[in-house]
Parts: sequence; structure tokens; C-alpha cells
Amino acid sequence: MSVTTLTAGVISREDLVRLLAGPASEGRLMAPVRVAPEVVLFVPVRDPDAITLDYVNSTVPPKEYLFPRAEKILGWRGSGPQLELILPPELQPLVLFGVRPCDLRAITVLEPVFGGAYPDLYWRRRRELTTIVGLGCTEPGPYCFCVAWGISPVAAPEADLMLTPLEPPAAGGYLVAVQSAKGEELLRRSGVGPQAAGTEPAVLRERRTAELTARFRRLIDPTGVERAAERLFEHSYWRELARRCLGCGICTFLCPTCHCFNVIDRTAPDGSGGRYRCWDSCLFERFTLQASGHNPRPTRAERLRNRLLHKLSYHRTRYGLEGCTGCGRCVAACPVNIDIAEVVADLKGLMT
Amino acid sequence: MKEITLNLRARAMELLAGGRVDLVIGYGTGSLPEFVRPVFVDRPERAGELIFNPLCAQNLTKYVLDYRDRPGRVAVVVKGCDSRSINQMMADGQLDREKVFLLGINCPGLADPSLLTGAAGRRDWQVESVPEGFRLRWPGGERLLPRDEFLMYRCRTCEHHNPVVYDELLGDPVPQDEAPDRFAEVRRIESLAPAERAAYWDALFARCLRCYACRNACPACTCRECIFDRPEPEWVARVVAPQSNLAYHLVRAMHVAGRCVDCGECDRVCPVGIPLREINRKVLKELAVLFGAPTPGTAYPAPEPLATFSVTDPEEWL
Amino acid sequence: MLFQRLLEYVGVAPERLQVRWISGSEGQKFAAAVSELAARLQSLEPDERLRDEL
Repeated sequence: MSVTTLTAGVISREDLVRLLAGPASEGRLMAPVRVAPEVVLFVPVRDPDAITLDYVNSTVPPKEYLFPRAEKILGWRGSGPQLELILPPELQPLVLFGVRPCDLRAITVLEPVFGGAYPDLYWRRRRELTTIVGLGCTEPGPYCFCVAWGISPVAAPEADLMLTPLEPPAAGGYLVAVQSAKGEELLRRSGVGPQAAGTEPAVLRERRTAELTARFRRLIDPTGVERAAERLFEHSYWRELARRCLGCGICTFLCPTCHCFNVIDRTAPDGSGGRYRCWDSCLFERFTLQASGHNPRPTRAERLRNRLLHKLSYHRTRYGLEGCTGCGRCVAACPVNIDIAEVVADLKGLMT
Repeated sequence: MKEITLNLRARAMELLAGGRVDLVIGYGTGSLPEFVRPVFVDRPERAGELIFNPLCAQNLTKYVLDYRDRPGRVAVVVKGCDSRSINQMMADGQLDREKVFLLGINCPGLADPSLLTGAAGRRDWQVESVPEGFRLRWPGGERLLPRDEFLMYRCRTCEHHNPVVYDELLGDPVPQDEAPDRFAEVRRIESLAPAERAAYWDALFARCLRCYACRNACPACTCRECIFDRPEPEWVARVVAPQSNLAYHLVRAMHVAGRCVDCGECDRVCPVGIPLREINRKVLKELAVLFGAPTPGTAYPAPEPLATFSVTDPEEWL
Repeated sequence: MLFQRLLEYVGVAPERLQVRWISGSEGQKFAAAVSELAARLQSLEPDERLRDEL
């Protein structure tokens, strides 16, 4: 694992509370909370003890702190020569705690989209202002397959501070790796001083990775699946799969790498208004509806094919990064059991 | 329930081979033991894909709408709750009865997969319904579970174990005991103070992502162009926000009012666990109170409370 | 009626809803109904929950 680690050490469960106490009291901490028996969400947390540590992953991915489900990017009043533009209020620095390696990798996956040739101001600013405290997994979830994409479930380089639980949450204790200046700042401000780790952190992480990998429910090998874009584009597989697709936005909205958005202008009768950027789904019927009335993806088959090939092929072709990080949310939530891990196996099977 | 599966496959094979239907829409095994999925069997040789077990929750009647404009007939597997949707679709003028062949299933109630995983202590189980309850099996073990402790949430207030409309019944009739009050949760929410009620729903709608799964899964949502897809005029703001989320759910509840058959799909599909059924059930309760209306879809034809005028209708607002 | 009960159920004051049957030629009746609603709303607590934010 190539990780730029500035320092590494071990902290206790109590240290963790102290680490987050400052941001929590300032109203700047976003952390996972179980809001219903099967629903864990990243929400503002004022009391670190309210944080849920007993979870596999959140229901809605933390991408929304870098790419919100709806954000006002511009406002205006008046018109003509009296037009007054109102910029959105300055964003506040945040600490985002509890981000799993699959969701951390998703940040890298999204970087070329939002930070590439046409940098997205809003993403950039949020990334600058957000200190991400990653949290390695202690148990693979029933639908997880991050390892299939070469992601380690215990650590990832995108976090500013990366915590790897050494024991299951009940016993406490985390290996902490400082991976950026922001992470160092958070650690320094909290006054938490990591103890030296008994074993080399890299060795510890490797061991944990091997232990956890053995416990994954399904072993997926996606090698070669990206060729499906070329070889299976016209195959009837997509039409058959799409028969049961409802065309909702669940998979796209719960996916940590899905990033399509809509820009919507809303105007009041007096001419004032705002411009909003919000999540959109390529599975919605009107996603590719053109002004002429033509829709190049007229049925669910084309739209479903597009999404799956984007995840399994196009993103890799375009950016050299796998589009899926194996978080398993779409598998858990799809009401009709369209299972991307199964699709990988199906496509490979069709190409042999 | 194994017998139901075998009967189902045999019937499907006959119907397809005999050309009586072009497609059988039913349930098949999913990608993992706790999942089932809709299958679309278009050839007799594929009839073996059909199953029926206590995980078969989805209301498949929505798919009938995809095929109604094509020549020929489709068969669809319906439980009691699902069959109400067929009646309602006919009442709404959305479906001709001859277009669909109904394979009715007498369903004693479905099982909650997460409770089953808890009972087995592992995930590679299989479940079937037996007269005594649910038989849960896994490699090297099995348990017989009492039905009422492992029942899927939506089945706890079942109104129709047996389909209300069908062409054939697969399975033996299930006695329809008096179900617990379907509106108990609605009454609980009604009993809260207004500020508490507001807070309760606000917290839930704050989670709403506007994925529209509730709308897409709903067999009553049949508009060719949905009002919420319309950018101009934008009846409800498409931007996700607490206000527009509240408006979306209220408007959808009103649009399906009188046509919602209480199948529970909206609830089942919501990815963030919003108990949407309790909104539609509020409407159902009021229809029962104001118009003495039974659950829509219970019979066809039936007078529709919101589409029928009677001089004895309550007139509070005039 | 139904909508009023639904509004109440989600914690919106049902008095905020007014439904009237008014013909296009009954201008005075319309004006009276709107004035009555406006006056009623003044006496209620402000409610931002259905306000369309821009």
C-alpha cells in the first residue's frame, strides 16, 4: 500500500472522543449516526458519544459533503442594469468522520471529474475545507466487495487522518496515520498524542487486510469486464436486465462515485431567484431528453446499460480509474435485485 | 409452499406452450439467499425459474403496464395484496381484464429476511412456508420459526391472504383472521401534538433523496407524464429540500388517494427507511371514516369514493 | 377535506387551506374569500415548512 504517512501511532477510544470534541462543540463535525434500525446517516453531531461506531457503512454515501444533493450556487435580485448577483455564503471548514475506504477511494475516482480539466469551484472549496477522518472496517458487510477493485478495507490514502481499528469497536484502540497537513492540524489541536505502535503500522495494516479479505462473502474478479463496453454493447442482456428495473434513482443516489447533476434555475414572480446544482440520475427518463424531443436513451435498457458500463468500463477508459468501489449500497437497496457484482460475472461469462 | 412453486411452474409451462400467454411475470431466486427478483418467463423451457417463497414481497402488477399495449396476454403472479392492484387498474381504465392472466397465490404471510438471518446466525439459508410457520434451513441445520414472530412488517396487518381476483389459484385458501388495526400507527401519529407531528415528519422528509422509487414502484402511479417530471411549470421544486420534499409526498398521496390499494411497496423500496405507508394509510383511514370506503381494489367494479357523488357525502367545507 | 386532514397529519395548521367553489363571474365572492383567508393567516403562527425557498 503506498500511503504518504507523516506520522503514525496508536490512540485509544477515549482519545478518539477528544479528537472530535473540538469540532463537535463548534458544530463542525459530521459523523455517522443510526437514525433508524437499518439507516445510518452522516449528520451534524454535537456530542461525540452520539456517533454510531457499530455500522458497516452509511446508507447515503458521504459524497454529499463534497458534492451535496442540492446546493445553491448563485442567487440574484433585480434585472437588467439593476441585476444584483448574490454569491452563496462562505463555506465553513468541516470535519467528516467515519469515512470507509470504499468511500475514500470514491474521492479519487471523482477527482478527475470535478478537479480535472474544468475544475469545479464548489467541489474544490469543499475539499479544501473538509478534514476527512477515515475509519477502516472491522467486518465486511454482506454486500461489500471493495477488495475486488484492489481497495483495502482497512486504510486508504485519501483521508487526512486514517484510523484503522485494531480491535473490534468494543475494545477500542486505533492505528492512526496522519496523511496530510490538515490531518496533522486536527491532531495537534485536539491535544491527542498517539502512542508508538508496537508493530510497524504497514505490517499491521497488511495483516488486517488479509484477515478481513478472507471474510468477504463473495469473491468477485472483475478482470476484463471493461471490454463489455466494446463487445457486448448491442447484446440483448441489457434489455433482459432492464425488464425489472424501475427506473428510480436509488442506485445512482446511493453510489459514492455517481456524480451526474442538474443545474436548475428557479425564479420568483418578482424576477429574483437562484441557481441550484443538484443530483440527477441517468436512469431517469428525461436524463438525455434533448430540446428537439429526441432521446438517445429512449428506454430503460439503454439507460441501465449506460450506468453499468460507466461503472464497469467508461470511467476506467476515460480516467484510468475503476468506476465502482464495491461499497455494496446499490446491491442492498435495489428493490428489484439488480446486483452489479452479479452483472460483472454475467458479462464476463458472456464474453468467454 | 414447495407445492405452490411446482404448481406455478407447471401452469406457466402449459400457458406458454399452449400460446395462451406470451409472458409469465413472477418471482425468481435473487443473487443471494435473502433476495428474490422479478423474472419474465417468455418460453416454456424457462418456467423452472419461477418460485414462490416467503421473500416474495414485490408487487409485480406494475410491470403489467409495460406490456398492455403489446398484442397477446401476459400472466402475472399475484398475492392477495397485489391482486387489489389489478382491480384498481381496471377501475382506473388502465387495464383490460383480458390482457392479463392472473396466477393467484394464497399467501399466509412473508418473512423478514433480516430476522431470518438473525435466527440462523448466518446468511446462506433458505426459507419456506409450512402450516406451522417458516421452515428455515441452512447447511447442517434447520429451525421451525413461529410465523407471527418472523413476519415481514407489511404482513402484520394483512387484509387479504387470498387474492380477490384471479384466473387460477395456486395453493390452499388461507383463513382470514381479524387483522390488527391497520391504522394503529396512523392513530399514534394523530395523537401527537401538532408541533411533534411536524417534527416527526420533518425529520423523515429531510432524509428523502427524491429518488422517486416510491412513485416508480407504485401500481397506482400510472400517468404517462408524471407531474413531478414536468420542468415547466415546475409544480413541485425538483431541487431536494425539506419544503419540496414535504410537498412531493403530500401531492403524491393526494394523486393516489382513493386508488392506493395499500400494497406497501412505497415503504418497502424507500432506500432511507421513510414509513411512507403511514401517509397513504392516513388517506385510506379518512376515506373509510368519511365515505365508509373499503380498501380500494377489494372488489371490481366498486363505487370509488373520490369519483362518486352521493347526496349523503360529508360537506364540511361548503 | 381529505387534503385538510392530510395537512393536519403532517403538522400544518388545517386552517391554512381554503377551498371554495367560485365561478369566474363571481368576482366579489372571490375577493371576499381571499380577504378572509388572508385575515385568518395573519392570526396564525408563521409556518415556513411549505414556503418555496429561492
